[in-house]
Amino acid sequence: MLEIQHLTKLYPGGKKAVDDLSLSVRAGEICGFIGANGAGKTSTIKAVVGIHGFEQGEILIHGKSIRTHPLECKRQMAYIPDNPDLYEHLTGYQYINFIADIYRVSSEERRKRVERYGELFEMTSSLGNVITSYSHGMKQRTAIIAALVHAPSLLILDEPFVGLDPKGAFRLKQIMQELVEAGGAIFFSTHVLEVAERLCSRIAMIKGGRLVVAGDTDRVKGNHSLESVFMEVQEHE
Amino acid sequence: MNRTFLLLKTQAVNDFSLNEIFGQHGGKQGPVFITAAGIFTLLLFLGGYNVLTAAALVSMGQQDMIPAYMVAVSSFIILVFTLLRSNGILFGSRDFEMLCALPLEAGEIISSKFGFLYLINLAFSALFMVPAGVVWLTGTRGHGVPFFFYLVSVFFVPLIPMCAASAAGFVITLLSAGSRRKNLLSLVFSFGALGLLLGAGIYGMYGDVKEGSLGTVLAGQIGRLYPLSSWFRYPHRLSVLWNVVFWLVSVLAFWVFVRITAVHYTRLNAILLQNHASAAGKAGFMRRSSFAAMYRKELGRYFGSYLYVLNTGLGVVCLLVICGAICVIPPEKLGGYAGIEDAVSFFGQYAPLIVAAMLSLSCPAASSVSLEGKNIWILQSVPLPFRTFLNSKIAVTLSLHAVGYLTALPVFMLRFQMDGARLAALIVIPAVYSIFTAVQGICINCCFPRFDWDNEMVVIKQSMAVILSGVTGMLCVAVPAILHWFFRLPLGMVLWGWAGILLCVSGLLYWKACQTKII
Repeated sequence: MLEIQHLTKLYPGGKKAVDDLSLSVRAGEICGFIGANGAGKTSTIKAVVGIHGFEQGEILIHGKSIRTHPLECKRQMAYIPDNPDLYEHLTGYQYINFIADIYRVSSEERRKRVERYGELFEMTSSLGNVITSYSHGMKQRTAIIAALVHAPSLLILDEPFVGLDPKGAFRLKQIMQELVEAGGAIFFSTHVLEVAERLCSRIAMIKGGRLVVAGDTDRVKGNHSLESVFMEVQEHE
Repeated sequence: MNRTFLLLKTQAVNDFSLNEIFGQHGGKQGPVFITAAGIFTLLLFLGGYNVLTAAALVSMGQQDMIPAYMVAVSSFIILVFTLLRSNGILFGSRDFEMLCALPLEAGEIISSKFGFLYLINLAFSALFMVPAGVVWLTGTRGHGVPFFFYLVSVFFVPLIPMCAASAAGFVITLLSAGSRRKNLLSLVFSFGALGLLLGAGIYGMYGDVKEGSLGTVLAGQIGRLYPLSSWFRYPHRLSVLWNVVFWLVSVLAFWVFVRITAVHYTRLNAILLQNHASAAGKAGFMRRSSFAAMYRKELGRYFGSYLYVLNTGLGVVCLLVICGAICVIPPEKLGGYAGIEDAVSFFGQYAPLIVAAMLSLSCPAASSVSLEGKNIWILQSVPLPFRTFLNSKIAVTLSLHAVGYLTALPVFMLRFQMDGARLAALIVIPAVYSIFTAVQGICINCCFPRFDWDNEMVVIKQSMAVILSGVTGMLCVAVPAILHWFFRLPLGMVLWGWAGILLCVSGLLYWKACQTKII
């Protein structure tokens, strides 16, 4: 579903943000993308969703290149950034409707989904208010509902659990499981290694822009915890 | 719904804070009455001015010059305003990443952003062309059809100047993109472009005037200011065909602009939003006073924002340009360019007001509190009195003014012969205006702060505080001029008396600002 081939992305000035990174996420998989601050996670994710260009390599969504078929690729996926910059002077409903209009979601479908996810995230009573009145967690929940309103088959998330309370985090994990059980795929970055260990079927670790470990979660961690594997990678690879 | 229109609608609701203005949806209700009063005053002021201008043309028997004149002037103003805004709205806006992750064509995004700019500029073209058009219609007979075509043209007039100014902004961004001093270069190029534009405008209106009838002279001036305005002269009924040509050319210009910028849109935004990793600076551990620390932070904030400097430094830059012009061009010739007879006497007499007016145009303080935005928590959590923050923000405005003021003083003193009284006025009056401008700006911003902005352009250019502060500044410059011109009061007495009032009001406003409960 997501195929990254030899991706190289340069910072202005020529330093490599991502260096020859290749990985794939298949349907039914949740892939956790782990790395220290500044390792290149967000640069990779922004290249995948089409925000940033890249110098070398290829990114395929459902077999189509994000470079040559950006619209077709973007219609299949949804992206939730680590610190969602929403249109703050719209109401939650207005914002979600805006996203649904962009994806041309029918009225019936959007109503069903907004009702369901609104209740799941306990946002129904707040969605009529302007986003400026929301807390960080409520903005994050609104961004999640908006991302799910067109039922994407590929979900790309950058630090999705930051700002969510335990209940919100639980609901998000529940939705992630549902999405992959329905044949979708998820690629997300996180610093919460316990969550990654329990939730992900695959793990990819990045260090200094290079992919250093990738594979099924059980194979990557073996008999150790993911945290100890991560520390080992950081100190010795 | 068409996606471009959907984007435009969303941006308009968001950037104009329509939900809050109408107090709906749990948002904090905005100051509706003050907003409406401010907008109404501006409309009345500009509309009234244009009606008077048009009436003056009718009284000179030049009523058929009104359409061309209004098209030229509104286009020129739209050109200048778009140059000041385009890089905050068309390129480098904060929603770029969000929009790029959605299945949208670059052309749809750029068209919607252009549409948003167009909505703002349409107000200018309507404000200039419609009231003057009504005067034209009433001052002539049998011009019903040309008037209809002229009215329709209101919708097309903003397109070409907007494309030209946006293209200039686009080129400026590209030229400065490779440099580590991107902001500085962009500012130099932008001020250079504005200077060229204003110079060309003044030269077009007043320079190289050929002898002839009043109509010929006016036609020449208007044509030089904006050549396409000649398509709005109505010697006979078929002239309206040129209006149709103008519409087509305008739409073509828009189409070409969108096609070209759409190709480079992603790359250009990436350039604008990226930060160059600069060489690591030396760690400084020198102890400073809390005021000095805040002042340094404010200066850094000011010069770190291209849009902030471009929009609030314009008055001081204009003053520096005037000083430069006074140094190299003989005053008589300079007066000729500006349409002033006896320029030596004029500049000598009005120097304090000219310098004060230029300083009043530059008021970073009016948006400095709002620009704290989401970082307001830093000020709220620092153990310092509110007065210290205000002082540091006022100090930045005064520092900016000091550059213009200290340059203007010796230039005016040396170039124009002044007696003791005029010299004292030149030294004191602009200084009082500078203090008043800074204090009224900060006070108004404390009364109408806006921290929940998405795009700093909204705060710098469109916020209630900036509009009110700008109108206050203009009125304070206009009052002594009106008292002198219309009530024949001696200028010196008026200026000194008015300066005393401004100084007292500054004290009161400063006290009021210190009492506000922002942090």
